[in-house]
Amino acid sequence: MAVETYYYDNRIVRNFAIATIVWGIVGMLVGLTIAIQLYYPALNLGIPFTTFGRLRPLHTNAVIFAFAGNAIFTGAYYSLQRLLKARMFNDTLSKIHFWGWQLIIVLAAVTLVLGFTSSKEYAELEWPIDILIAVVWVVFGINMFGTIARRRERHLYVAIWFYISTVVTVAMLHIVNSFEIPVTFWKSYSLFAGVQDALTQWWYGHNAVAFFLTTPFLGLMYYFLPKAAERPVFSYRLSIVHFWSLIFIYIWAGPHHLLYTALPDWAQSLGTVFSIMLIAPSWGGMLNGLLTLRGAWDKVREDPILKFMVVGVTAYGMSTFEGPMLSIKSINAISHYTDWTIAHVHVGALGWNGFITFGMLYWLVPKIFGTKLHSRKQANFHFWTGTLGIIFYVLPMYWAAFTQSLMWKEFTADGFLQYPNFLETVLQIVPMYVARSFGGLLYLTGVCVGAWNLYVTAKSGSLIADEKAEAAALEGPPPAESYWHRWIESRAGQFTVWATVLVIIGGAVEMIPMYLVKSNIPTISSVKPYTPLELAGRDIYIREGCNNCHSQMIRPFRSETERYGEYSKVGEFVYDHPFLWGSKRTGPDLHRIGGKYPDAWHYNHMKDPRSMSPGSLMPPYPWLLEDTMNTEDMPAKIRAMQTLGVPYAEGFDQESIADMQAQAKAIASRLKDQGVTVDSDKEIIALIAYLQRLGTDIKGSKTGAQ
Amino acid sequence: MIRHVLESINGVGIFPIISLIVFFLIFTGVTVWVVTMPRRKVRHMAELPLEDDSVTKGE
Repeated sequence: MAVETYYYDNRIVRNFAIATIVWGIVGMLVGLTIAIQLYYPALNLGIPFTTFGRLRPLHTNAVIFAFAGNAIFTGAYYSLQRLLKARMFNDTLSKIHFWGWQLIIVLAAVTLVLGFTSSKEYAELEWPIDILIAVVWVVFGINMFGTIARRRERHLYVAIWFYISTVVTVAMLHIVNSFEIPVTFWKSYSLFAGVQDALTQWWYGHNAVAFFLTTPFLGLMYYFLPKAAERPVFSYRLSIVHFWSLIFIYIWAGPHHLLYTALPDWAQSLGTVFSIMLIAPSWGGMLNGLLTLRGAWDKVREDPILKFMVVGVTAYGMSTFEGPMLSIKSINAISHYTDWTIAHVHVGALGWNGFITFGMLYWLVPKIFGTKLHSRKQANFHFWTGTLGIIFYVLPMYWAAFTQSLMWKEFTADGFLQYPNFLETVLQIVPMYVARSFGGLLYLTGVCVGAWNLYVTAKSGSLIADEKAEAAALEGPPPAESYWHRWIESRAGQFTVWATVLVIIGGAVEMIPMYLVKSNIPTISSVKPYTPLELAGRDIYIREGCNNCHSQMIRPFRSETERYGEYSKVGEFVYDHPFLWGSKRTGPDLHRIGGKYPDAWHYNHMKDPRSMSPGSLMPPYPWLLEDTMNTEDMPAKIRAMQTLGVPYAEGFDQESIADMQAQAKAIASRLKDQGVTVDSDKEIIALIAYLQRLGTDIKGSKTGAQ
Repeated sequence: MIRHVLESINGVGIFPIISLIVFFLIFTGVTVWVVTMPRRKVRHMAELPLEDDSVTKGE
């Protein structure tokens, strides 16, 4: 067998590493900003672009897709080439992938700040960017499968399996959850409505965590942890069982994000059962990682890289134990809508994704620059500030969550809510918000020191852009093995296809009954489509990201029906493209806000929330009082809604603008009676129309769902 | 509630049974495959990440 000489592409690895660090700092800085905004609303700066509702999606997208995304690509491009003993399939594709991804990030940053959003969590980007993401992702897929096809190593290491499942599943999730009807270039409506939209969104949201933040990082763990520990993984056999059981169980667990909502019970139970089953493969993987260090724990004391990885894997174990626990209905009843979720995701993001990334970077950057790490001391400093940062972040959040949830549910001896004013429960936890932002600051400080350390390290060496390597070409018959093993291994491509089909079936079985079976969504005859003005107000609600802090889903608990009113029914959301149930109550639920306050209250509250609710954490929205509402897109919006099956009368799109203006005039004159003078074409009018409509359809018909 | 919804889906009982069978078969298949994997091969696979990256450092 002839030995071939080839070169590893390290330049692409370096580029992704730089992007990881830069976007990481940006994303965390935005996170720190919104953490401070929660107790210091003036930091919203009184302008639209920097309010919490717009920056929060920017933060989540930046840390997930920019920081973690680039980290995945860094590690995958490094390890793929070496595990397959081949250069990446095509340098141009690598470049398109890199620059395309960075372009997406920049577009995301600009459009989210401008208020172009679909409102779906972690999928907020509007349709043109969705298409770009799909294209760039396919480029990555071609590049990866092309490299696999040209490999010089017969066997595919388990890390590569994790990468393959990532590429395939993320593509599927992204495409299905992005089914939307474009209205204008930067506005679209989700194809699904209400409960169907919610189920699709959380099937996506949950599996984005699974296949963007878990499987690729497990691939990195299975490659870089043995590298750093200089010993093979504890049990390779276990890693294979880990892989297959993880990907097949994960795909079912999405509905656990919708416990106690209007989602039908059978779907909720399905989500709970599979979530609890997830503990087994997750902990199998964690133990496999930790036990890799058996006999090498003395190294952990010395080596900051291993310290990062050990804490990272431990954080994985903690959050994958916590996740299934949070899927148990009685625990979810306490945790949902509180800061518990925020604590949970940050154990994962800061601990697991963050620390695996930094461990990997400290190992990899010196390698590709042919030098040694500049300062082990600084790396240790980064490790300790990071670890303390996580602790200072999550502990206050757990404390805040328990405090607030118990306050929400506290009744007096006479059977009244102990804390009927929502704001009281928020003010109680403000000190915890302060402590949390300190934790975030610590973590970010560590990252900045790490960035400096890696920069100086890179400066002290020079990039080995094309690293020379030699290996024999892959030819001749495979080594003697049992028939079945050879049969299975020689069919990697077919197995990928079959695994994908099975995963799709998993998703389909979960969702198709919801789409097709009418009886899953009991219709309520009094529920009518939104008027054009209300629809315009709803679009403003989406643009400002109100759903980031306000839910529209009252759970069937006495503590909630007492506070907010009648619990939410499936049938009330049939015209909600997209659904706006929300996932966190930084402010109170709004599903029954309609008719609760006079119009003037809303006007003054949007102008300055503190004038109506002293001490409120909500930022003011003065521009809604100044800006003129968009009317020209309304006919197109009505037509889009008609396409989606919303029963507006034929030709209503032509009357929609007049309808809108008539309703706006009525609200403006009502406001005038209440002592507020405002032109009827201002955005605030549309928003008031929407808020006053919310949840009112079933009022008067006490029977509710049929 | 749950019984009512489940009954209303035509033949819904088959969904969980299919999924149970599929997962059971996959899990069993993977386990058998892994257990019967030759020791030599497992060792080779496990050591793939540890193989030397390149022949010469620096170009």
